[in-house]
Amino acid sequence: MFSSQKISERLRETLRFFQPKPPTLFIRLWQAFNGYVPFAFIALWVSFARFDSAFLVHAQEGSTDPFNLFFIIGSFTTCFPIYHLATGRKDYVRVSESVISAAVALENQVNHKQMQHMTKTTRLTRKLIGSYVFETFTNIFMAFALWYYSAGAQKSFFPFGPLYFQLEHFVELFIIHMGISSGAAMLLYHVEISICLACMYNVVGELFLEVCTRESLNELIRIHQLLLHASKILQQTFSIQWFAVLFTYLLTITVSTYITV
Amino acid sequence: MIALSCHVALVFVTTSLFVLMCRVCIMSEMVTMSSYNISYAVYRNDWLNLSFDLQRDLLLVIVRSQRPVHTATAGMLGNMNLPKVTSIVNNWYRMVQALLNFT
Repeated sequence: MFSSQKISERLRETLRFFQPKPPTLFIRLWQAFNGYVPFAFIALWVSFARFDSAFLVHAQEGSTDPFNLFFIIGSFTTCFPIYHLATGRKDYVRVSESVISAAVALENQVNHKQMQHMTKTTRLTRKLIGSYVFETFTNIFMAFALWYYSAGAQKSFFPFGPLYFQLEHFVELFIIHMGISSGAAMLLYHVEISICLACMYNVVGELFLEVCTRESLNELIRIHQLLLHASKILQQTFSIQWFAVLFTYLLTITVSTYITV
Repeated sequence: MIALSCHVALVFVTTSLFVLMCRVCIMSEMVTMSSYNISYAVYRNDWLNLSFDLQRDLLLVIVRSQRPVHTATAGMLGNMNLPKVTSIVNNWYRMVQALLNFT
C-alpha cells in the first residue's frame, strides 16, 4: 500500500509546522520580536518624533489636550482586535480541528503510534488561541486604565514634569505596539494554518501517487474533503476579518499622522 | 524635522503593510498550488491497472482538484495571491506617477 517509513518522515515534517510551541515567556518574546519587528520600528520612530515635538509644545503652552485625544484614539485602536477574535476564534478552532483530523487520518494510514501526540497537539492549539484572547483582553484593559489615569488624574498620577513625559511616552509606545500586534496576531495565525494546509495537500498528493486499493482511496478522498473544508472555513474567516484588519491599520496610520504632524 | 518624521513614518507604515500583505498572498498562493498539484498526482498514478470503479472515483478527484482553492479572499478586492500583489504594485506605481505629473 503506502511506504510507511517515507510517509512517516513527511508527516513528522508536516506536524512540526502546526504544533504550537510551549507558551513560555522566552518563546513569546521571541515570536513577538520575530513577527512584529516592522511594527516595533514604526512605534519607536513615531514615539521619538512625538516626544520631541510634544515636549516643546508643552513647554511653551502648557497644554495637554493632544495627549487625551491620542489616548482616546489609541484605546479604540486596541479595541478592534477583539472583533477579530470574536468572529474568528471559533472558525480558527474548526480549521485547526479539520487540519488535525486530516493529519490523524493520515497517521492512521501508516501507524498508530503518534495518535496520543496528535491529541496533545489539538489541546495545545486550543491553548494557543486562548492565549491570544487573553492577551487582547489584557491589552484593552490596560489601555483603558492608562487612558483613565492620563485623562482624569494625570497631574496627581504623574506629578513630575520631565518624568511625566517620559512615562507617557512609554505608555504611547506600549499602546501603539500592543494595538497593532494584537491585530496582526490573527493574521500570523492565518499564515501558520495556511502553511499547514499546503503541507497537508502535498502529503495527500504523495499518497495519491501510491493509491491502489479501495480502502486507501476512500480514506484519501475523506482526507481531501477535510482539507477542502478547512480551506473553505479559512477563506470565510479571512474575508470577515480583513475589514477589521484594514480598519485597525487605517486608525494606526491616522494616529501616526496625527502624532508626527 | 517634522516633515521628515512624517515621511519616514509613512515609509515604515507602507513597508510594513506591504510585507504583511505579501506574506498572506504568498501563503495563499502556496495552498492554491499545492491543492492544484493533487490532480497531477492522481493522473501520475498507475491508474491504467486499477479497476473501473477506482478509475471513475479518481476522475472525480481530478475534477475537484482542478478547482482552485483560495484561503484568503479580501472582500471586494478579490483573492489575495501573487497576481494580486503584482496588480497592487502596478496600480500604486501608476498612481505615484500620476501624482508626480499632476504636481
